[in-house]
Amino acid sequence: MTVPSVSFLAFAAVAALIFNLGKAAWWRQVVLLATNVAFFASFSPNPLSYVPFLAFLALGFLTQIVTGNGARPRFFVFLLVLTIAVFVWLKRYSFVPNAAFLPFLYVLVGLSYVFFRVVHLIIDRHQGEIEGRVGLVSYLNYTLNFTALTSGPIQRYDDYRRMELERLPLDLVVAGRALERIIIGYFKVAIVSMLLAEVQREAIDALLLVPPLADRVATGILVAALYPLYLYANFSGYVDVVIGVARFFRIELPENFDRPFSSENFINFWSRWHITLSSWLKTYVYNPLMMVGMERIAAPALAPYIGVFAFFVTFFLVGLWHGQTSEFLFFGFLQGGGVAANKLYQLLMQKRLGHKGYRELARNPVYTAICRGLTFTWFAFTLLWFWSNWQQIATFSHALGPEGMLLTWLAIFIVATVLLAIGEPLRRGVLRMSWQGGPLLLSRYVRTAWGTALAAVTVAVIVLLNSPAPDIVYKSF
Amino acid sequence: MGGLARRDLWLLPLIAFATVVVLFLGSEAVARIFWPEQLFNACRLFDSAVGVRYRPNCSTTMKTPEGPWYVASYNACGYRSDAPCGPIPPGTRRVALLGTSTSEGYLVEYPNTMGAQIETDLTRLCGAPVQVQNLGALAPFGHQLLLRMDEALRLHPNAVVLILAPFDLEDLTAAAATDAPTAIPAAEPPAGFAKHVFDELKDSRALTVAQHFLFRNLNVYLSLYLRYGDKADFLRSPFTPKWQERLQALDTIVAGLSARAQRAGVPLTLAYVPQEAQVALMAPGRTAPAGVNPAALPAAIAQIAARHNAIFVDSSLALRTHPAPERLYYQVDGHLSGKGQPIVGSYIAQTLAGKREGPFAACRGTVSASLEVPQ
Repeated sequence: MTVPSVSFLAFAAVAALIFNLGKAAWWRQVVLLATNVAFFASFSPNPLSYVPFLAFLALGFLTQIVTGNGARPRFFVFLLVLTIAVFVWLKRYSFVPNAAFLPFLYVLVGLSYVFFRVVHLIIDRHQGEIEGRVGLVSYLNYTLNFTALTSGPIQRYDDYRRMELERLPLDLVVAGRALERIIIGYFKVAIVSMLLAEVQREAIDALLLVPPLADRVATGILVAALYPLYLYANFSGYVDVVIGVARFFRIELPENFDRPFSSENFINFWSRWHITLSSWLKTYVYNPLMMVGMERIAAPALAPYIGVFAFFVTFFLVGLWHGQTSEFLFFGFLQGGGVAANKLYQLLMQKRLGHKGYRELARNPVYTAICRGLTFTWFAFTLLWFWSNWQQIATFSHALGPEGMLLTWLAIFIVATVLLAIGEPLRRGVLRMSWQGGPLLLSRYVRTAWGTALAAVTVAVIVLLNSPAPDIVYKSF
Repeated sequence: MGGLARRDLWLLPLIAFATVVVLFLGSEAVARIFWPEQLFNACRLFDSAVGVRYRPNCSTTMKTPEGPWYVASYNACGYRSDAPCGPIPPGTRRVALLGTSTSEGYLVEYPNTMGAQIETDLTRLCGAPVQVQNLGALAPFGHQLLLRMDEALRLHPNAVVLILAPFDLEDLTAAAATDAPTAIPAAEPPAGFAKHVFDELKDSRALTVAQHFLFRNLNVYLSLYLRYGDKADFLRSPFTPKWQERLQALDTIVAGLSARAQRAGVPLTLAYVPQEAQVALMAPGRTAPAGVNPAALPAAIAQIAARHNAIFVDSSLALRTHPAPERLYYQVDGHLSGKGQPIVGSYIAQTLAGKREGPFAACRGTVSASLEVPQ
């Protein structure tokens, strides 16, 4: 079942109705489990294809039991490494010999996200961060939660458990907001990302015709700059839909995006883009690396540079996690390199200008606008290794030529800087228009009209196209 | 009610409803202003024998939302031709065009119609005046064509060309081909409110405009068209029983036309004009999906033409060489536009002029009719 799709929404609507028919905790747990299992079972008609996935889940469940509350540290490390190794093996990473892989097709949908949840459970249970035991039904509902199975967001178990115990209220206002979220998300995925993908595809075709330099640069801008926007509309739209759907099951999923293109630097960008993934990696990779580094390297002068190294490793893994090919390896290198360079720059500037001077510089609107433009441009550049391969990149480079490439990236930087510089004050200005003590645009009347308009346009386009919404990019990870 | 004021219980649904109404009316108004339409033909007369005729010496202004304004003018015989339909001036050759909307040049300004193009090209290729009397009309494709053929032959043409497109055959039955009495269909029950609303929405200009832009995406258009059911089944071989019946009925009509033409000593040409999706699938470098054969229908019609000694011209061969042949049509309406009609006209003229015998044997055509049968 594709998320989001009309069939997914219909499935979720029926399940939510049944879920809310009973108030007893056991009823809701059982209905949610049945819903999760039914959703999971929709990916393959072959029972054998679920075995590896279920075995991984079983390994995680048993590991968190036997290593819980600080028990047997060496055994904990062994089982944690084993869990990671099994994940790498099941995901068929290219550095694992082909002969080692299972000789049949099996379900992998959402395994990466399940992996994050399982590892989080194992570590936090071992460190005593999670109180009490984790029951099998709660474990399955947490790891297989159908709203977040395919592409996240990655919820923490304690947050999930809290909502399982004290189910959140679901009144008309909450339901209306959840519905609004679903409509906005569906619009982003079905309309905005579809249009952006279409324009980018046409631009790629046009670029290969080798038109004059000015046209090539204009087309190159579309090819490179539209993909981040497409990816944002596609992925954040999916997140909007699942957050809205989960709310009908009285679950509040964590946010995954916070206007990432308004970020003033690349470090800040990664705290506003795929937030739950970067938070997870900061908790389970960055922080331990920092701690180990600080313990091992006594010189205080080197302490900031341990942070640079930890940043590099963390965001290198963010990139690497996305795929198993050399393109993703390089994508990871660019992510890690970008964040590390950003951190080094901050250290350098603080050294030269002092903390106060650097803070003042960061408050300068021109400097901020340039930083935003640069952050967007760098992200768009790194994404080339995300959505294309070496051969395509070589073809684009050849089509653009050295001067074309230079002009394309310069133009993207300038356009992004100007648009983001205009966009932010414009947004603030629009939100300042108030009515009945709150921003006019956020009043329920304006939101109702806006949501209805988006729903009407989405339905009209879907009916016209009579085809399912494009698939979610992040489903394949 | 979770902090929702009592008035919001009716106000919010009202706002939602009003939004939909405003959106629809707004988009409809914008579409009607920027994409006007005038499809009513003031010259059209209903004729019990041939279905439709046009008022002699009449002009009417028409427009599809997808195309330009144009004036459709009809000569003294009610044919869409500039040339008078009286006696043929000495040294002039005459071609009679038969068919329906495609032949007439529906929604296309006169200079771009295939009739006008055939006239211009044949005159140039033959070095002597050639006039076209276009008897094409937005009329049923059936036994009525035999009466139109008699009418055409009374004009003493040197050649008769029947233009046919796949959608001409959609309503063709064995009974329609022979003037046999047909069962009167049962009266439809009065349309309900829902159907009325649905029909209104279907005719919405905003919808037409939206479809126009959507269909410009070939992938969207093709996938939707191939799901059209019976309408699109001419693209699949072997043909369904319905399409086999239609071809059988066409065979009957062509036999009648051919017999009349032979009696009058006038060569009959069958010119096939492909449907938009069909020619898009035929374009070089494109592959038809499994089970789809865009060349099947022209091949079957070529066989019918051969059986009845008619010349066959497959204009798909000319249209498909265009870099984007689907752009030669009105995307939603499906008729050839002012870009596609002249290509078909030129190709027909080239074919007629390329014949080694017949009325245009001395002309300098470049297309040999023997090449037109699709492989």
